[in-house]
Amino acid sequence: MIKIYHAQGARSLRVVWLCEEMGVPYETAEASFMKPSDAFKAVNPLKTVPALQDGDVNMIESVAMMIYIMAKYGPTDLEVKPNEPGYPDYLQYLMFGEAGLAAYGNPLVATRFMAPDDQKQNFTAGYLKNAILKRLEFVGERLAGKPYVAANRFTAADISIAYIANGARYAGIEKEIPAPVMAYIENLWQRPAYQRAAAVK
Amino acid sequence: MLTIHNFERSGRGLRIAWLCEEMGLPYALRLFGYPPPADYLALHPLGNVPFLEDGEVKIHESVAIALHIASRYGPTPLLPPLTHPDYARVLELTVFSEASFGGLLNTLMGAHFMAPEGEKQNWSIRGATMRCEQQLGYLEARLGDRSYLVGDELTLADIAIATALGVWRGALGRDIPPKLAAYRDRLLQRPAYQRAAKANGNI
Repeated sequence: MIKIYHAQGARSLRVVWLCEEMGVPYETAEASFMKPSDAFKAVNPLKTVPALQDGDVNMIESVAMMIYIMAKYGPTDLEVKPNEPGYPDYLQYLMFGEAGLAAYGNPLVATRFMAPDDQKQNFTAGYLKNAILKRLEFVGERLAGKPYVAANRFTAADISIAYIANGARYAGIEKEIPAPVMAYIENLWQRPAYQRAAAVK
Repeated sequence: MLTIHNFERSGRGLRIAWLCEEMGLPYALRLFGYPPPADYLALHPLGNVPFLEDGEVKIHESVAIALHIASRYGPTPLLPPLTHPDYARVLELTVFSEASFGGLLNTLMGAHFMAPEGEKQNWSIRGATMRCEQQLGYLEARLGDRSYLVGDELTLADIAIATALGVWRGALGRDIPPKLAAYRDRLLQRPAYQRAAKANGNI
């Protein structure tokens, strides 16, 4: 069975949510960046959440895990296939959710919680916040009221993008998420599979 | 015909040109300086690079572009099939090049090129630099004494990581750990890389 090293609200939510949507059985194990267990450090020396074990496979990077799980345990409509017209957009948003959006949150969260007071509002904090908000405006414009970012259906790209609501909360900028983007994410959160995933401790 | 929009010499567009060269695909590089020209912003309002035009396909995110090309114009040994034991690791490291490492590179480049003098090494930048160094340690351990990051031949993971290392050293002037540096130097000797780097203005 798939084992997901998980912390409630962390990026492991993407993988748990995906498994819930697909009906793929999984178990979770405790993961913490700040207080990593020996078992977690053995799987992921970088201590980033999540890590995944599945038989002989042992990997990090939540977006890569989603691609792997859909390929191995699919077929699933959550994945857009190369012969479908929505495939390039799907790939773009699948990657953008982390590389273009949530990745900017990590140094911002670190600065908010760990930097000395006179450094909490430094150049980099402003730079990162602006980068995230500019990209969220872009997502809102491209959505233009549509419920999904790619292929006219719910896909793993939506799961990837939606995580930014959590990242923004940790970074203290959740109130600045553009209203159309927040409405899009809140609509995704109505899915029963999301609600089951979000409750997993 | 694939058209890759890129800042001249930028490592992320080079990643795509190198991939095309390895796969034998014809492509055109459309290069410009910073700030990007108005017609590029009309095409891609975020203004970052690279951006791919492939017929009706218009997408950004270099790893998404790489996966699109490898899937649409493959199969290619650069992206092994699911049944291959290396599949998961190739995916992981390809995504890692942009998600984990690339996200921090952008943070560092923001300060390197735009911060006032007293802010170039602020608390956040020192922390992000330390995280990058830890990630380079992870990659160095993954590589060990082998020639490629995954398996016995070149994969998308090598192209993605080697170009990210190029940003770390080239744009930021940082040191690469010794085994990774030697590995990257070897990869850069590949004729496909040399052709792409010439087209991109790197050499």
